Amino acid sequence: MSTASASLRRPGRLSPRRLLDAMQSLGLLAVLVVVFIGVSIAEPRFFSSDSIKAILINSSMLAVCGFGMTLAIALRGIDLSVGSVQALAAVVAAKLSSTGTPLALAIAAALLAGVIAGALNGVVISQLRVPAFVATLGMMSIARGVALIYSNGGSFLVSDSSFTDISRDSIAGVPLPFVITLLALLAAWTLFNHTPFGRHIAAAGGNEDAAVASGIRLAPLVIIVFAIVGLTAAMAGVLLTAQVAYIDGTVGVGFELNVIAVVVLGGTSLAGGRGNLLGTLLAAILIASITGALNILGVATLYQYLAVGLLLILALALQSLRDRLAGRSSADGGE
Amino acid sequence: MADSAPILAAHGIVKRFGGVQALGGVDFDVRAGEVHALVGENGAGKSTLIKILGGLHKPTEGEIELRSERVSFSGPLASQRAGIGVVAQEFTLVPKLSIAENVLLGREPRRLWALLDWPALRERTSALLSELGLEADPRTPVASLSIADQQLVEIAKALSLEPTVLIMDEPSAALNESEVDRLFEVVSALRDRDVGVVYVSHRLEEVFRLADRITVLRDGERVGTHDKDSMSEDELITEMLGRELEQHEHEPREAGDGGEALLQVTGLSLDGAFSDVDFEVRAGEILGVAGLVGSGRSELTRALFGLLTPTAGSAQIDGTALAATEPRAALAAGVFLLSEDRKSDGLIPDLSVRENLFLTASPDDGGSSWRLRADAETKEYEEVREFLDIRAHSPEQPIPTLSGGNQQKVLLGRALTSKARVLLLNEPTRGVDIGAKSDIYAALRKLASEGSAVLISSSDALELSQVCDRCLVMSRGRAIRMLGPSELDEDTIVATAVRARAEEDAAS
Repeated sequence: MSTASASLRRPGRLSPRRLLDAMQSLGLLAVLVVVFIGVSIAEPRFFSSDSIKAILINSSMLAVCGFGMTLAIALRGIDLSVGSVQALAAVVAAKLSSTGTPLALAIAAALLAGVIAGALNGVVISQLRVPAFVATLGMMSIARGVALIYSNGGSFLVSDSSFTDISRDSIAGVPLPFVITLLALLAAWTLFNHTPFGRHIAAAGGNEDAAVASGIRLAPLVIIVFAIVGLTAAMAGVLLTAQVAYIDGTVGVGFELNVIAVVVLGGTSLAGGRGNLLGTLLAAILIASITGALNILGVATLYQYLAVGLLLILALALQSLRDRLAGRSSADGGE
Repeated sequence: MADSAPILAAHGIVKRFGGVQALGGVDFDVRAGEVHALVGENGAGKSTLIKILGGLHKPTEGEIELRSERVSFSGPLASQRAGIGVVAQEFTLVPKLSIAENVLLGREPRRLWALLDWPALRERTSALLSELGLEADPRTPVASLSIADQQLVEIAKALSLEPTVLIMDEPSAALNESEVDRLFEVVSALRDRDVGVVYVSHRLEEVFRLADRITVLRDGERVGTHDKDSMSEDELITEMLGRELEQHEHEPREAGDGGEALLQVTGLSLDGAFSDVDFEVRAGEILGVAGLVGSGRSELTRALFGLLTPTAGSAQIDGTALAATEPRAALAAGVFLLSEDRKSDGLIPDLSVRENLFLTASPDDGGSSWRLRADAETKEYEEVREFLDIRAHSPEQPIPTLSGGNQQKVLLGRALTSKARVLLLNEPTRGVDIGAKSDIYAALRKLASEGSAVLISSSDALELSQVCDRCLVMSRGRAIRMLGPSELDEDTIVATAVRARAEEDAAS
């Protein structure tokens, strides 16, 4: 009886959720295409390789850090400290570079700073049992403070052209920051979908008690995931340094909200247990495109905030609808 | 077999939580190739004992021996590695993950360095599923399975460890008759493979069908361990309760002796759930609704309460059309719904017993200030507590500290505090021990005799035969037959439901 019902039910049951998941990515793609066509008609300069390159470069920071954030949210956590950690890494990279440290060493130090800050978040969350929201809120302040102290309240100009070239070089026509983004996507996607570690993230985020009862140790999981978020925030800091070359301790304010917006827009549910990394990338490109489009159309920055906010609310409403639909289809069976 | 040495033995287990003693020196053992049933009322300490054997809790005192060697489990993983599998009552599944990911969670096969070996994962899961007779694609998300199938996944998960001892906590609670039969086949096969099975159940007929030995716990103490053949069901009940069960002899009454039709349902339909359902429930009557999984009876009650919107037909309460498009309107019309899953749809764990009890009560009675209202509530609480025999120390006690049966009584108490006259009850005694069950039955009859109309949707045919006056049998969303008082017995109810399903299957 259970046999028959399970096999009878399967095709109809599985499709709505999968379909809606795909729709999220396709939907983003569709919006992206509409934005491109619409803006290109209004302003042909938008559809130029320079403009597209700029969009890809601008999306890179959001996307790279978004991948880390996607993992944290899949674990039913969140990281509010990424903006401050980005600033910390940027300050470390810029200060070291401007004082003559070799590029590789400066970048390595910046990334290490991010990993340490992230791992500390993980330790506070898993060992002191502080909710991720609060723990990372604390780190948001601490990392910002350390960045300001380390920079002595001053600013640094990166004169090493090999550093700033990171944002100017291309591989086969693709801007280097975006190549880094694609590599990061591949790494995060493999980790999340094709390793036991990644599945444990989804399990612990979906049902923590079940994960513990299955013998999964939460502490290492949480610490590593938040260390990864710290790493990706630091990568965003390095990309920022390469792009603007002029860094002080106040960069990256509000970055965390944009990153979270991108992840949610990409279809990762704040309820945990699922992560849509490709969606995160598409959403980052979409946000960068909209910002770029508004710039090229001459819309003041003020209104760009409005646009991003409206988009985010729309995306969340859509996601809520999706969850309701998915919930209904599974609730009907459970008599 | 009967005299073989135990694989797993617990000696003098004491467990205290803060100042509360849950277990007071319990001995328990299980041998290879036997089914050892563990019975007792809720709160007797069964769950605590199981959690200690499964490594989730550490005993305060006492020791555990595995194959005569003393062991101490640092956690569930340690006990799993030692060969003890646990099928918990609360599912330990991650709904969003697939069956395969759930079954081998924490023990995924790998390839290359650290990559997950998906093909191996699916293959191993498929093998386990077919052993259990569940022909589902291992990639199916667990959330889309029925409760019964989820239970089988839970069992597959425990079996994947190839345990030498398997502890099953109320494995049949969510299963219907034929699924229980399948479960029993699985348990018997395990016994034949020399696995020691610890089987916890409220259903005594299952215990007698399956167990070799039976251990009774009461108030954290072991009352006795018996060979199955050496005791009767009545003796077992007496041992569990510490008293003899009061027999509520129930005589189903002819519908219509006296009461007017309080709830009248005409041609009610909901696409994909049920269609063209007619019936009425009179004041003073208890109507049962029986049916296998997928019969639509759960949706029927939810539709009458405004949680689902019917696509056709109508319902009348006391002659007035019920336009319940949301629960608030249904409550105002005097309709009450007891949902089947008290944890997710009923109780608010952070609120006290009193607050949970009065959650649905109309805010306009009981005084003008909140203080007066709290006083009035406390007074009314006493009446409800007495009516349902809720065992709580105080109205301000946190609800999770109550046993399952008493939590259920609190939910049922909402029907009293919200002054409902039409009670729609889903699985009113699921997961409830026999003492509380008999209290709940008594309360329902009292409510009916005071003029309420009661509708009970249940998968437990015995329950329906014991408490109802008439019983509607549903199958695949259609009302098949109304069984009158003279036909109300367990066998007839089951046979009618199963035959209807079989005929439909043959026809389709």
